[in-house]
Amino acid sequence: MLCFYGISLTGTSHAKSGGVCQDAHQIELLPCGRAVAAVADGVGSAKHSDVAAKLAVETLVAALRESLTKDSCAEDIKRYIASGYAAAEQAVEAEAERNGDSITEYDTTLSAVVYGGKGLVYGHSGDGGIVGLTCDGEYVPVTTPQKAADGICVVPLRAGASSWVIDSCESDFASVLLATDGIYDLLFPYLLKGRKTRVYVPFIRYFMDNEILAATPKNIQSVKAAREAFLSGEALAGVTDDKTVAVIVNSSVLPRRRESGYYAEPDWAALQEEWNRKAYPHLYSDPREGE
Amino acid sequence: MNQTINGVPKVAAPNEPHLACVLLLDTSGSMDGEAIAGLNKAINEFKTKTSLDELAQKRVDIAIVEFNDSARVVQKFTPISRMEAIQLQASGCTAMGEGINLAIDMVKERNKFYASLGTPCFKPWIFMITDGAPTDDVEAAAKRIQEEESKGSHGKLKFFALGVAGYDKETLCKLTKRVMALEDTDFSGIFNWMSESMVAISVSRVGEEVRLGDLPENARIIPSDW
Repeated sequence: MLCFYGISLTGTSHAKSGGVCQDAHQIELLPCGRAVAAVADGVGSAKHSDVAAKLAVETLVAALRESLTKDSCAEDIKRYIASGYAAAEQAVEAEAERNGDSITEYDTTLSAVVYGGKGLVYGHSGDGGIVGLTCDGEYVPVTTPQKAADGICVVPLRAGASSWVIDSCESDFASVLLATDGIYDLLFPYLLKGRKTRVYVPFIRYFMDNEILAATPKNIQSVKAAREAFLSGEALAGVTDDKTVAVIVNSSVLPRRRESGYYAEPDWAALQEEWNRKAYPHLYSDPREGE
Repeated sequence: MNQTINGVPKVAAPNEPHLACVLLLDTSGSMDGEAIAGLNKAINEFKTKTSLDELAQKRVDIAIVEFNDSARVVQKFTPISRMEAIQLQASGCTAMGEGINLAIDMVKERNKFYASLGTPCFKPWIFMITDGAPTDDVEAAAKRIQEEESKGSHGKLKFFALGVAGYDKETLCKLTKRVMALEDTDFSGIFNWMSESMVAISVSRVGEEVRLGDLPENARIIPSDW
């Protein structure tokens, strides 16, 4: 049985300047039995990016609602997602034109999944992303953040079909999470780059491991409320960006429990020290073996 | 060991973006005396003041390059809180072009390094202080500054030039649109401004344009389209 929740919170950097949340999300359980989730992050400097983000998720979900049937196979769904992305792009362009604005004032990212409780089909554009928790208990990044050549600017939805990534994952997933970059970047701290486990497991499992969520259709609202309180609390006070997570859980499945080390908090002090030794070798008078 | 309180995780992962800043300093003969003494004092105070900010401590990496007869790295990129006290001496000519090229090489290399480790980074700064005209060729350096500042939608570098009494205004205005002039040899105000700017950038999001504060009273912007 599929349960889902979604949260979008205005970042303190926007709230302080009287700004609105430039993130948007939408999740629906469709009559065909599959759930659709979409998240979008309006580009900070774009004046109407909040409008664009909302329009993008609404248009995409509406398109999928119209197209998906019980018999839709993965290839069908990829086509529907591609059409949905094109529709979202056109809707945003039309809105810009209607208001006499430059399309750049409506820049947004867009990530989406169609998940029926096992495999998933997804679309992705921008610097947020999608993570799946397999039934085997492994957290798998499904997408790669898209940034421009400068490493800072985002590749927005209007970059077009040649930039959108639309694909399917045949693994058996117990749950799937979509996030905009305010949260996504926390899921993959750079100190874990190159490690066997790249994802920050103790953090992400709070959002999508049903052993912790204990989510059912009856209690999903309180599950969501707890996550929302966490996201808006002290623990993430340093994240000033808008925060969005959208999670779909197959509550009929509990992922396999892995060895305890998989869930352990990484040794951040040691990882930071390793990074420091690479960044400031001149400050260390005791080069380690092999350095 | 899991760090949770009643099942709620403690988010302990450091994920600090970094800001590389090169202080590019004219230590030619004409800077001898009050100017170099003022500069040494201000830089050491800058370190102390900026290090008080918790985020700047973790995010700001400072390198120091001096140029006189040639350009030399005085200090490699170092966390601001771990900068050693400096005691620059002034003598010789003004190899400004060589200094600028060295500084640009350093910030580009530094940002490449951050990228290789997946470390997000802010647009690097080069902050040049000079009291004279270059004694070497700065054409190539000027071209490089323009190239780097024009890359992408927001540029890959911010180059500031601060002229002290005797500086060559025409040269500095050819190098960058960010030219400031100091009316005396009291550098403390401008370095306070730098410190506040570093802190403001440290708390911002990568890619966000940060509004910098007002210059101190003894400094003024040289008109440009800045």
